[in-house]
Amino acid sequence: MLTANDAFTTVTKWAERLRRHEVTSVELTQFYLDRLERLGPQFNAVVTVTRDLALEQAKLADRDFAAGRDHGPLHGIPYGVKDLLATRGIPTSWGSGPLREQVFDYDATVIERLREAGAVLAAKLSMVELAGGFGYRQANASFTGPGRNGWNRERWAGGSSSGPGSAVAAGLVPFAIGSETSGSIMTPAGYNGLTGLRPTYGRVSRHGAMALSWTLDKLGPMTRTAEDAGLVLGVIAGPDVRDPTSLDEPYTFTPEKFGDGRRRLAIVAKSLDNVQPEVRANFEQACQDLADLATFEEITLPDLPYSAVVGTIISCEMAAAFEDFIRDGRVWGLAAPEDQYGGHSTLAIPAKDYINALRIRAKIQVALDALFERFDAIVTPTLNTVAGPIDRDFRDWAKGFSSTSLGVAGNAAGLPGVTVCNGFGADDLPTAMQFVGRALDENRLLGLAIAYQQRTRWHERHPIVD
Amino acid sequence: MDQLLPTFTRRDFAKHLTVGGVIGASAGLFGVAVEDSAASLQDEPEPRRPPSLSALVLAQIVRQYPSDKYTEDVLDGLLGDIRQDLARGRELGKTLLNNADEPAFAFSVFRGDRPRLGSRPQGQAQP
Repeated sequence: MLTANDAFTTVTKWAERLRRHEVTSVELTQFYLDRLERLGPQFNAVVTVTRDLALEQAKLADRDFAAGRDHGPLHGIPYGVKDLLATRGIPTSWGSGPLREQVFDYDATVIERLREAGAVLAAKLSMVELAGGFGYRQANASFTGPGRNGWNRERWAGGSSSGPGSAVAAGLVPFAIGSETSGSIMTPAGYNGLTGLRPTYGRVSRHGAMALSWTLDKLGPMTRTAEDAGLVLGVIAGPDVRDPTSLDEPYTFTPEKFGDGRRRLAIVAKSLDNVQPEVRANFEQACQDLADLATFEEITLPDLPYSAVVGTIISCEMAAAFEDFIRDGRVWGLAAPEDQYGGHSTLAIPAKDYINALRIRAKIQVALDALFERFDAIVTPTLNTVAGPIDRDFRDWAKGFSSTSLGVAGNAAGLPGVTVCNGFGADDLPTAMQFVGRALDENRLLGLAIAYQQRTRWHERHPIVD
Repeated sequence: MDQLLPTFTRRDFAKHLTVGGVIGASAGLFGVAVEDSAASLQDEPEPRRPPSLSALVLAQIVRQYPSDKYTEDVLDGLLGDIRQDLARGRELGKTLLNNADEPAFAFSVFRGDRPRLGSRPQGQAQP
């Protein structure tokens, strides 16, 4: 008999329990399906519970185990996916009311790979409408309602992968797949106290994912631990001829060992100047927790217009991707008033601005690579505050706080990042720190995150939701 | 309230959108003969200076993407977005670029029998 506490078990532990025959995949899947249906609405976390498909896949997993067929660490384990990945015959809304009936006749590559690894698709999870590209300024920007935080339903879950964030935090699924164009994995993972992994651009195929920005979109895992994130990445990463930007490099999860004390980490200067006091204190403590693993050096990022570059690229690519949606008036059916008109101005940005943004982007890549060559990772707080109230305009809540450009710079250059919970702050909500590294260095970042989680226990805390 | 054009506030602009429709309003503002709105604009004084860039962009958008949803609040928000986009373009312009600085995308040739050679036409990306 599984209890509420079991809901927060990691992928790694479930894999052990399945192989010890302490639980079957059907029991596990039924347990999470019940939670998704019972608790999902309280967090506005779920778009579609895929009960029939999940039980069918779970039965298959149990048959495989009985026959001695083992497809690896995700075999038999339920998961949820942000509702921007195509799933054959199941609605894929992109978080948008006007598209809630949209159905594709094929599966995204990520869905295929998870199925081949024996994972069990339990739910399509909620998200900010159209992945937030239309400029939302409030939590209530999805046809499923505002994404509510797994730790406190009156706080925001973060976006745009809000459902994956709250669903994993609240123990509705053991892991989920999110997407990030600029911040959409790291933010909800940070606000919900999760481990979030933004892979190197091209590491994970985008085939079957909603395109907000073809040259910035990434798909990645949101999990309870860095170990779990690596296991999931190991399944979903790799070349795919259906995504022309997918990298030829294969990926195997082999986290680097951090223990010899000779590693080098950098901290961005002034990254603690305008953050909540608890965010600062928890970050400083986290650096002390890592002090036996590495030396720290303060650096400044190259002086380049990261936000203008990323903002222009997203705007121009989404203008092309969604012009029909604006032209035929479906845009006026979006939930947030600012999203209804927020795409319009992007339709008139001069082409030379887009091209120049891409030219500057090339400079950003070279400048950051030269910087990252000297360090194993650059670390900063992931977010400058804990999650804000569900009903406050972001500009109002964030007034007086600011972050470094590390997040947007990393996205501009397509660099990987990992966020981990590093404590709790105001109103007992999670705070987080991020490790950003050189392209293709996921195993280094995951090794660092694993080492941090071996020294601390923040990732083991979980909310009481039922 | 900030002026959208020298002689039109956003309130006027929104009113014309409501009365004459988007095409009528934006055409009227720029002297294109559209009966209803042109008539309603005849009493307005002549603009004394060219419209601002943000107003021109706004007019371009409402002409290209007509809708009856362009309320005063929406126009207000849209104008703010346009100004932000223009500011971002100016910021990009501050970075020195040489003629040889190429964009961070690379077109590559395509052969159907060698799919990893380069990018595929989008039409072939679906299964």
